[in-house]
Amino acid sequence: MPILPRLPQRVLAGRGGCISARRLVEYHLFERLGRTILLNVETMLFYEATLLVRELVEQLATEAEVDPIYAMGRRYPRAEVEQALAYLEREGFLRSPDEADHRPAPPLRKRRGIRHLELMVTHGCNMGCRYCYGAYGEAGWSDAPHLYGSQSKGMSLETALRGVDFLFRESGTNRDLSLIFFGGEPLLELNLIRRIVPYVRQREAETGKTVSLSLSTNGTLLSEKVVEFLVANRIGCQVSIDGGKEVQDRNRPLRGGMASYDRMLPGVQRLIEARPGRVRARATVAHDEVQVVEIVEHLLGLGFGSVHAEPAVGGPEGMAVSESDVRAIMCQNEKLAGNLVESVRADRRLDYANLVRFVRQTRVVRERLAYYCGAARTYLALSQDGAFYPCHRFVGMDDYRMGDLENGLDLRLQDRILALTVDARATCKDCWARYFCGGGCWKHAVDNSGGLERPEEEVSCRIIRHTIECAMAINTELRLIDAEVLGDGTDPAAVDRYGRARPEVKAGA
Amino acid sequence: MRRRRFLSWLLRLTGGCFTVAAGIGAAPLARINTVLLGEAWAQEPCTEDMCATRDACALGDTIGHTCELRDICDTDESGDCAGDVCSSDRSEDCRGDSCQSDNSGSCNSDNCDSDSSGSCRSDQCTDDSSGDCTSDQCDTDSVDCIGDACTTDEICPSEVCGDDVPACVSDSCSTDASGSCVSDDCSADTSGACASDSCTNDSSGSCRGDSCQSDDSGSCRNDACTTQDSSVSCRSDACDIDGAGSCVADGCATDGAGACTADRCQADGSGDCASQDICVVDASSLCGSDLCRDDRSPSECTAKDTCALDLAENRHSVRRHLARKDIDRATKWLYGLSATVFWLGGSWSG
Repeated sequence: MPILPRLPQRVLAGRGGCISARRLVEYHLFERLGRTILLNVETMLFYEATLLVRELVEQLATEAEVDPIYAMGRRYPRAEVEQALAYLEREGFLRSPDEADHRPAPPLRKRRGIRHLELMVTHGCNMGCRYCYGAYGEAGWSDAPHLYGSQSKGMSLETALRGVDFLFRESGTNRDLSLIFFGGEPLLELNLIRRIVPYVRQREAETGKTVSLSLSTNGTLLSEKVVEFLVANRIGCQVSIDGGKEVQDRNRPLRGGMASYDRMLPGVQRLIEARPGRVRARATVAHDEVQVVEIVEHLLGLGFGSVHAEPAVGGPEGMAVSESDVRAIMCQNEKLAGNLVESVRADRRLDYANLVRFVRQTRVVRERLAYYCGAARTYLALSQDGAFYPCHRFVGMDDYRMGDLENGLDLRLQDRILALTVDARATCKDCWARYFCGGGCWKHAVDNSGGLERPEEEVSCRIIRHTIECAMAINTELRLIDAEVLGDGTDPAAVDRYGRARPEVKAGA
Repeated sequence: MRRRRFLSWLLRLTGGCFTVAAGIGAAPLARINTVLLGEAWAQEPCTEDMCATRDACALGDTIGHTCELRDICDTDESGDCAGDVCSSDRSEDCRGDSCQSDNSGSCNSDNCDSDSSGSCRSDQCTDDSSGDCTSDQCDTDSVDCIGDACTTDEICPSEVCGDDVPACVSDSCSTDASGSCVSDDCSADTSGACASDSCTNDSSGSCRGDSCQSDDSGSCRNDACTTQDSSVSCRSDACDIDGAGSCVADGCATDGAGACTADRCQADGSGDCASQDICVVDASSLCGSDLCRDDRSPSECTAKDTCALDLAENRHSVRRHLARKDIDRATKWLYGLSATVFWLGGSWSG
């Protein structure tokens, strides 16, 4: 793909024999899946471009002082070049030099209340994943009960219930809230969760608000009773699994080094059977383990509704993805993009969440993202000792502590983050993908540069930009509105409110 | 999908002429996506909707996100939707719907399968999670359930059913996750203070003397578990797999213990394994005179070994090597035999 300038360029465009100065607005021109795509960064509209438009844009960008009709006239009829220029003008790609740059900053989203709260119910875990970012400083666990793998007893019921009260109190006018049980392995604290859930339902009835409950589990403790509890209480589940047996056993062994795949599989299948198409898998892609196509196909084959693959960034040395891994991941993503197109055309479902998210987001653009996620604004994590952090990844980092239950929320970090919109961050403000991306994970930025200002460019930015390009190319290929891509993929008639298969459907299946 | 099938049909019907004709006049820029932002360019207003999933039309419908009136959509999230025919309705003022799922706040006497409305009464629904549900016919009921015919109830005391009550003692339930469970007879026990259980799986922290099949407890001793023992201080186990660090004299099939000696395990990865093992695979450094099938020890497998494979020389030539040795030995023996025969023959003839 040619490297093209992104910044506005001064050009001359012929208009009915009269030359008037025109310059290109911020754009991104690329080829993906055999399609030439032109994105207007300001309007966030993207177009499939002909070869003429491609050459015309390159001409306008590189030889600003040359009349494009004259320059292009050697290869194309004048009428076609004029028509292409007219299209570019109409779609807002050209602007007169006097016209000020229109950088449509996303609206600053002041905190209107907390909507999501992660309860770190335990930092204990029955697994010993090789890349676990919580495994740092194992020797110091006794002094730091907030760290992963520590043998502390877990969150107290009092802290958890105070956290729930905090969520309801601080949610403001928000009616739809979410509470996430996180760990460690949260199901190690099932008893605590069992006591929290009725209290949440009670508070829902009192306030008229609704709370969606969810947890992220390693899948080893999904007994029949646990699955029943999760389904009956509408607790959504994301299962962390890295793919097939070989890679799972190597990267995610149990404590003591034993294989985990065979041990977790029955429980995972039980959960999937109870919630067909609704269980999401999260796979961590570690260094030299970047067979994303294989991983996604294996996990979807197990019955997971969607698969999200996340490269290991930071964490123990030797596990984080490298430069060569990034290239391999992009290659695999592109292959999955092709597979996704084929699947949609064949009425099959292939929910590779990394791609599908951006397919939806780029197909119907509902907002310009100012931030990657709601961490520290609408999203907080509550640690076992009652302290607030932007999300689970920051738990235990004193510089990012945001007060506690005793003394209330400290909003200084939130003010810092609010100021760091994509238009204010040095690396982001000139990136074409900024309004689709939002600036990347805050924790990755901290791991990379020690601060929030600079996003992690080597891995995260490159992969996200490439994924967005693939998503736009998929949309260009498909064109039509496809329920398989836009919807959640579940036949509403086939499942009840808890995601369970209705008896007659089950029998039919 | 219907549109795609129609286009495919049209393409077949016209033998591709339609596409070619459309291609001749193709615009140099073909817009692909839609932007629902105030400053989006050249959006056409939309009126009555017939969307399949969610209304993604432009300017006319950006306020309130989705369809506003007389929608025939599958999902409706608009705030003032009324009289919809959708299969799922999330609008707040929904009344008299015939949808399958109703989340509206003031739903009464609906015919839906699921009802989560706050003041639901006398519903015919299968699942009811309303707060003050009374006399329902539902299978599952959570809060303040009274007089229900439900099969699962979370606040029942002294039950023989699945029990999740925190203070459950001496249960005969199949699963016990209560915090203070003691002397249970359940098949799975995850309680923290579990002791002397006869459960199949035990993950309690202080488990001792269990007869469970799988034991992950940290201080497990003298277990008879059949699958795995990952306790750090496990000794004298009879388990199939032993990952304990100080495992000695085990009868397990796989042994990864560092100080394993005199084992009868099938695979031995311990460093000090010597002379007495009858394991199938031997990776110990001092391997000699073993009866193992594979010898992965760094020392060269001696002729006394009966192993089929020796990786000491980093090559798979042990069989040939040993065969050659055997042939040499047999040749020597035959030579000696024939020499003896010649000598005896010479003596007799002499």
